[in-house]
Amino acid sequence: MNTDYLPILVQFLIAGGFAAVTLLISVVLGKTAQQRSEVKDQAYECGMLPIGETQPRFSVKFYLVAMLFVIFDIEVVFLYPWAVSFQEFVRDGVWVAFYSMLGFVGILFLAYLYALKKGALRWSD
Amino acid sequence: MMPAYYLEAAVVILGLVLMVMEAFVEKADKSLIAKMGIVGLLVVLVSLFFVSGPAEGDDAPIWSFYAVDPMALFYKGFALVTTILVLIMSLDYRSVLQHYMGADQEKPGAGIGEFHYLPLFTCAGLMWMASAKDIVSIFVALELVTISFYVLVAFMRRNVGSLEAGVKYLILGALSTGFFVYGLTWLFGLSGETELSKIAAALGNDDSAMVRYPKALLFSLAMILVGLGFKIAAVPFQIWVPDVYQGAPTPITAFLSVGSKAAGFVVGYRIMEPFFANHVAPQLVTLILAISGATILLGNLAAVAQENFKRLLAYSSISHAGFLLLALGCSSSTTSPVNVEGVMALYLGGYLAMTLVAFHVMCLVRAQLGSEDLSAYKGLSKRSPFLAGVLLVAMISLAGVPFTAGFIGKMYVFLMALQSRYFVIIALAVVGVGAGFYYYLKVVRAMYWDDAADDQSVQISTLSKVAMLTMVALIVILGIYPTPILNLFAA
Amino acid sequence: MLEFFSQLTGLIEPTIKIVGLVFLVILPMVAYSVYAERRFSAILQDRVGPNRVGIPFTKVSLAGLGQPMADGLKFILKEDFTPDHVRKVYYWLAPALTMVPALLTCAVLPFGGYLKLPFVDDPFKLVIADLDVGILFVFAIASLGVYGIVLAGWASNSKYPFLGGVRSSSQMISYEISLGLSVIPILMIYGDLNLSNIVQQQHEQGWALLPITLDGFKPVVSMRDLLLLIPLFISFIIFVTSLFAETNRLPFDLPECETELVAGYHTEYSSMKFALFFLGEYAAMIIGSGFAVTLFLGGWSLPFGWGTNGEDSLFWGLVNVGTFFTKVIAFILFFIWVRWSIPRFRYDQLMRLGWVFFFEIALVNILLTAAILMLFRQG
Repeated sequence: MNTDYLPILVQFLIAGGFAAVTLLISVVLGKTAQQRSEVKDQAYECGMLPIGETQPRFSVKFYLVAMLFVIFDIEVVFLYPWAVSFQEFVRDGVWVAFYSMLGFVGILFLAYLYALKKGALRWSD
Repeated sequence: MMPAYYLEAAVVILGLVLMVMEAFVEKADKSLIAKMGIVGLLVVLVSLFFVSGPAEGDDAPIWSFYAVDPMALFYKGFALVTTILVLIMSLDYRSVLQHYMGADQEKPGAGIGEFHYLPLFTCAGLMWMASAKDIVSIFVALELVTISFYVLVAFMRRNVGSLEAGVKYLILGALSTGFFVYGLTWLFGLSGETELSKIAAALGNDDSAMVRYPKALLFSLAMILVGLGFKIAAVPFQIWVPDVYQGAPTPITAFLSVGSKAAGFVVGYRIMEPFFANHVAPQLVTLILAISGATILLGNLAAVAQENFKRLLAYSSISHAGFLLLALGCSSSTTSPVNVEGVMALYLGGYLAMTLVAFHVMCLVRAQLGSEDLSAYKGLSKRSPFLAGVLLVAMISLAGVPFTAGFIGKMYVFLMALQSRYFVIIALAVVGVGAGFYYYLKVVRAMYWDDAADDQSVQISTLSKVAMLTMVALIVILGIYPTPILNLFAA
Repeated sequence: MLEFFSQLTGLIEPTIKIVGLVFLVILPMVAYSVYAERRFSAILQDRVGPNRVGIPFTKVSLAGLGQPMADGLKFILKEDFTPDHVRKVYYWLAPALTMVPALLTCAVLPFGGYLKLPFVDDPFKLVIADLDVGILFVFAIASLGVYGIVLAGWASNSKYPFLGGVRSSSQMISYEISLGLSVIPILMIYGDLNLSNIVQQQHEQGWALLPITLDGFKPVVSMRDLLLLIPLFISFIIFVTSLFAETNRLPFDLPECETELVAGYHTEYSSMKFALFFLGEYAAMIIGSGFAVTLFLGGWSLPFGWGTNGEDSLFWGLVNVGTFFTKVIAFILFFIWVRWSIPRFRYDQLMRLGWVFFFEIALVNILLTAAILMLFRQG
C-alpha cells in the first residue's frame, strides 16, 4: 500500500467535510426572510422578467477552444517527463532527446499555426 | 538505401507542408495541393524500391515494432497507389465538393483544401500499418487511418447524406475500435507481450496462459475479429457499409473500400497467423469460414436488387471481403504451392485496380451528369466510349471473367478452398459468383444496350485517362501473368 | 490488523498538519485577505474602508479587524435559498466542487523545511504529502476547479450564470496551457517534480530568480545561472499572469464582470453557497501565490543560501515557515495591488493573449532554456 497518498485522502475528507458542514450550518441557522413566491423564484435578469430561453445557443468557438485545449494540454503533459529528465540526457550526450521533442512540438506547432490561420482563435469578429 | 520508415516520415512531412501551405496561401488554386501531393507520392513510390530493413546487428528500438518484409513493402506500395488514384479522383470530384461546401465568390475552393491533403495522412497510417508488428503500433496506425477517414467521410458538410454517413462511420468506427482494443488487451494479458513475434514464440511454451486458457484466447481473437470485421465489412458487421459508402464523397468511398479493407486484412493476417498452427486453429478457422460464407452470400444476393451504382459497389465490396476471408481461413490447411499471403496480395491487387476504375468512372459521371443511379449509366457508350470501355473491363473483372485479375484471384481462392475441402463454403461461393455475374453485367447492359436520355458527353482529363488506362492494363496483366506477385511472397 | 492500526497512527501527523495549515492558516488568511483587499483598495482610492468592527459590545474598533468575523457570521445567518428553476443536485454540488480542489492542492506545498521539536528524535517535514509527482498533482487537481464553475453556470438554469460559466471555463482551460508550459523551464533546470526537492535545491544554489549565494561576504554567481535568468523571468511573468486568469481576478475577471454579466456564474447563489465560491476563489489565490513563491522565489528559503533547512534547529525551522508566509503575503498584496490598478481586458484580447502570445512565447522559452542547458553541459 502506498502510504504517500494517505494524507491526500485525509485532506480530501477534511476539505469535503468542511464544505458540507458550512453548507449545512447555513441551512440550519439561516432564517427565511420572505415567503416563497413566483417572483422570488424567478431567474435573475437585472430585475426584469426573464426573456427567452434560459440557456441560449452560444458561439461555436467555445467548442473549438475546448478541442484545441485537449490537444495542447496533452502536449504539455508529454513535455513534463521529458523536461524532468532533460539534464540527464544532456549530461549523457543523448542529443536525440532534444531533436525528437523538437519534432513532436514542431508537428503540433504546425497544427497550431493551421488553427490560427483558419481563424479558430480569432474572437474579434 | 535508406531505412524503410523514412517513407512514412516523408509522407507525413509532405502532408504537413501541404497543410500549412494550404492555410497560408489563400489565393492559390486548391487543385495545386492535390497535384503536389500526387507528385510527392509518386516520388515516395519510386523510393519504395530503394529501402532497406535493419542492417546486421542494428537493434534500434524501432525495429521491434516495425517490420520490413515483402508483405510490408507490397502493402506500402498498395497504399501509395491507392492514395495517388484517390487524389486524381478528388480532382475530378471538385465541382461536386464545391457545390456542397457553399461556393464562396471571393475565395474559390475555400474549405476544400483539406480534402486534398488529408488522404496523405491516411496513406501514412496505411503504410505504417503494413509494417506494424506490435499491437501498440498497430493500434496507433489504425487510429491514424480511421481518424482522418472520419473527417473525410463527413466532408460535404451541406449534404445531409454525407453528414449521416459521417456520424454512422464515427459511431460504428469508434465501437469497432473498442472491440478491437479490448481483444488486444486480452491478448496482451494472456501473453504479457505486445510484440507479435514474441506472442507467437510464447505460444510454443506450454506454461503460457494462452495455452492453458484456450477459451480466453479464443475470446480475445473473436473480439479482434469483430473489430476487424467492421473495418473489412464482413457480415454481420456490414450494416454501416451501404449507407456510409453512398453518403461519403466518391473518392473517399473508393479509398474506404480499397485502403481500409486491405489494411484490415494485413493486420488480421499478421495477428492471426501464429494461431493457425495452434490448438485453437480449428475453432478459429470455423469462425472465419462461417463469417466468410455469410459475407459472400449476403453481399452478392443483396447487390442484385440495387439500383444505385454506389450501393451496388458497396455490396460488391462486402462480397469480396468474403472471398478474402475464405483465403484467410485456408491458412492452416492449404498445401498448394502458392501461399495465403500471395493469394491475398494478388486478390487485393486486382481488387484495387478494378474498384478504383469503377469509382473513378463514378466520380466523373457524378460530377458531370449529376447522378449515381444506374439509370445515369444508360448509353454511356455513346456519351464516352472510353469510359464505357474501362468500366466494362472493371465490371467483367469484378464478376470474374477469365483473363482478368478478378478471375485469377477468385481461381486461387477456390483452389485453396478445394484443397482444404471446404465444400459447403465453395457451394455458397459459387452461388455468390453466379449472382455477381448478373448484377455486374447489369451495369454493362445499361451502358451498351440502353439508350441515353440526352446526348450530353462526358469530358475526361488526360491525367484521369492515364490513371484509368494504367489500372485497366494492371487488370489485364495480372489476369494473364500473376507470377510476379506470387513470387514476391514465395518463401 | 496490527499493521492497519500502525498505519492509522501514522495518519495522526498529517492530520495535525492539515488541520493546522487549512484551519489555522489558509482560512484565516482568506478571511483577512478579503479585509486586506478592502482596506488596500480604500487606500488606493483615497477612501477609508472598513475600519469600525472590533470587539462586539465594546467601543474597541481595532482598525476594523473584526470585519471578516462579522462577514462570516452574516453569511451563516442569511436565508439559505434555492430557487425553483435550478437543477438542484448540481446547484448544491458546484460550490463544494470549487472549494475542495482549491484546498486539496495545498497538500503538496512545502510551507517550511523541517521542524525539529525538542524531545522528538525525527524532525518533521513541513509538507502534508511529500509526493514525487508534486507539480503534476497540482495541475491535475487545480484543473478540477473548472468543473465547479461550469456546473454552477449550467445548474443555475439562467442566462447570465450560463454565459459566465461558459466564458470562465474557456478562459481557465486556455490559460492552463500557458501555465503548464511556463513551469517547464523550472522542471528542466531542477530535474524534479517534487516540490520539496525543488525548494531544497533553491535553498542551496540560490532562488530561481535570484541565483546568488554568498561565500563569506563575496557573492558567488555563475554565467549559466545568469543566462538562465532570461527564460526564468519570462516564465515567471507568464506564470503569474496565467495565475491571475486561472483565479478569475482582475484584469481577467471576465466570467463575473459585473457590467455585462451581473455576477457571472454565481448570480443565482446566496448565503453560504455564495461564500464557498468566494472562499474557493481566495483560497486558490493564496495557494497559487504559494506555488509562485515555491517555484520561482525560493519557497521557504532565505535569500543567498542563508540559514539551514531546520533539520537540526527549531529556530531555523520556524524562521523558514515565517519566511514562506511572508513571501506569500507579499505576493497576495501584489495580487490586490494589480486588481485595483489595471482595467479589465476585453474577451477577444484575453483569448488572444493566452493563445497567441503566451503559448508561442512559452514554447520558444522552453527551447531557449534547452539551448542554454546544452551550452553549459555539465560533466
